[in-house]
Amino acid sequence: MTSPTIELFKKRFTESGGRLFMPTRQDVPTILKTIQNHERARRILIEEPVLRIFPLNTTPFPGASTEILSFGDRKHSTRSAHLERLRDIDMAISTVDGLVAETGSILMVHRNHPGQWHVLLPPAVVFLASPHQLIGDLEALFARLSRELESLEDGYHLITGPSKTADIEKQLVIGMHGPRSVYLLLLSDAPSPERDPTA
Amino acid sequence: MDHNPLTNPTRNAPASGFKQWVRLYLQNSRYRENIRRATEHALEQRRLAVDEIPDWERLRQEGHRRKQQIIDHLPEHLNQFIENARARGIVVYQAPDARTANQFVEQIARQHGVRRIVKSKSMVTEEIGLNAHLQQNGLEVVETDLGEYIVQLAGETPVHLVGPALHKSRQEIGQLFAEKLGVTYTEDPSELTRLARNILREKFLTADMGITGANFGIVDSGRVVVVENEGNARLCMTLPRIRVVIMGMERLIPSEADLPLFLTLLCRSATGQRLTSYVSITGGPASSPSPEGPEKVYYVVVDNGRSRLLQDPHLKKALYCIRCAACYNICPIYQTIGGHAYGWVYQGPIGAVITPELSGDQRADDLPFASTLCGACSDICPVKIPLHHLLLYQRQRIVQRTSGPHSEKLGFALFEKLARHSMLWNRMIRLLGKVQRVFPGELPVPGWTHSRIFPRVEWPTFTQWWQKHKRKTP
Ligand code: SF4
Repeated sequence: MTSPTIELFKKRFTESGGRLFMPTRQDVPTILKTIQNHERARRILIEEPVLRIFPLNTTPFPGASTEILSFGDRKHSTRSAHLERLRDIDMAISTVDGLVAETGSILMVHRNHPGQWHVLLPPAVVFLASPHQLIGDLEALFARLSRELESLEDGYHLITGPSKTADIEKQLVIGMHGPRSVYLLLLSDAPSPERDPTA
Repeated sequence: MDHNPLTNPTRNAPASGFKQWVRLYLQNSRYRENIRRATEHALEQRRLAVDEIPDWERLRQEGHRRKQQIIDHLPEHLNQFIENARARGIVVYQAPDARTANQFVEQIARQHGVRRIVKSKSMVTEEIGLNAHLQQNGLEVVETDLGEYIVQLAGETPVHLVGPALHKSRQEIGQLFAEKLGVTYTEDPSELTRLARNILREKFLTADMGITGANFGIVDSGRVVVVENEGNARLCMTLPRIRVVIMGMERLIPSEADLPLFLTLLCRSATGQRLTSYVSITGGPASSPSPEGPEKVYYVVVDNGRSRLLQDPHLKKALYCIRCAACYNICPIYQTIGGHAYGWVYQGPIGAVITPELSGDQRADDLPFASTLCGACSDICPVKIPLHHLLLYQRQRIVQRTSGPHSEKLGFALFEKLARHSMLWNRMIRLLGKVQRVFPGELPVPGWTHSRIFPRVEWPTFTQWWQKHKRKTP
């Protein structure tokens, strides 16, 4: 991935209202704690795929409860129990399936995650990604997606910045129905997928 | 405005006539000021976003071309779309009109024991009067887009495609919330937003059915695309057990490969964004066990007069519309009178073109005349619909159908007589000039000089001047 693409992504992602960090793997726990502090998060949910790129379950957040949302939960949890569990989460941590530089967007392919509610319901969501997931523009994104039809079965979506509205006198207000804070930790030293021993 | 003309185009159109509505709204200076500010702001945002794209013109042409391909063979594409959606386990219903669409949705709600419905913004549901139908049948329907929620609380209808409540000031919204929700008055947009968020979140968590519109239906995958900023459409699509998508039958694009183009055209034209906060490309019901669902997905594909547009070689171009509202914002008429004065669900230039066909109601015949024919709408339209030509074309059709007012026919017959005989014409002009010199005030012509100035005859007239000067030229 060429660095102009990274530069463009950084610019566009930030312009859309997202907050970007480019930590080394070593720095991740510190940054997450800073975010937790800033968001005053008491209940934190981590989706299972995160653990494949970063062993977060060994990183306790001070004064917060941390739980894992796993694919196995899908089979066992009932709808109401699942909703009960997710409705009061303060912060979720999730992986992404792509990043679009042109628009500063995050791609979520539903089949790759144990659910969709966790990136929508809490006021803050933190995404972990690595630079090899960057895609230049929408054209390139949809060209790539057309080769992955199988995984798209359940649908997919793009997230560009926080939830917002301008319905009152055209004044921008952040955090309407979805998260008001969207963080992205772009791991600067993340191994590429081929060489990632945990992948 | 404390009363509002319509909840449904066929039932509550301005019986007293379009001109009366316009007069009424022109007197409301706060409403007009809010409309002016909002349209100016939207145009500026759009300009900045479009300036970023060097080949915008080419994109517009491309958008026009791809929509043309779809609309020229709409029945085939529609069948393909429906077949692909059904292969995903989606139940598809083609509704010929508003009544059948509403009944179908009500029936699904009954079948699944639905009590509470959450809804995201969808113009086609406004067009068919879905909310009123469901509410009359004992179902609770909650609009969840902030602007829609505001107009629902106020008992009004959207004033604009993209900003349903942009005619209201923060003070009016503050008063409305205090009155309807029993909260302490505030006019702070962030605080009002927070209040609405909390109330609506509870509704989401307890809703049985979610209804959304669709910005695009994708022919070769049977998916739909929903574009939004608040996240309410995503909540509507993913939280409740039952998902219903209601869409006009023309809303198709060929494939997902067309999305870069159409998302660029739509987002930049509508809100001046590179992309809205959320763009969802939905699948069918959950394919593996999941507590999240939805368990069932329905598409309701609505005709409701669109076939009438499709049958006309010119008017069918109006079906290319991607509902960005850029033509509303740039239209000098819309800027001046605002959406409610139109008295119909679709307003601005595109509304004036399609409403006579969609409604099949003669009271909509005034709309195509509410235009200066300046062509700004055609210039701004991201899919290059020749809107001002279509407005003119609609006028012709209406005049032919209704044969126009008698006085106008008489006037034109007289004009024809005079214009064919130069002697008569010259005499007439001279006479008119004399009259105008004796009575320097406005010459009143009923129904015409009301909004126009009668031209003054220049003195001497050109023929007099020519008689005098022609010999002097070598
Ligand atoms: S007619 Fe063109 S400009 Fe008007 S809303 Fe439709 S797409 Fe937008």
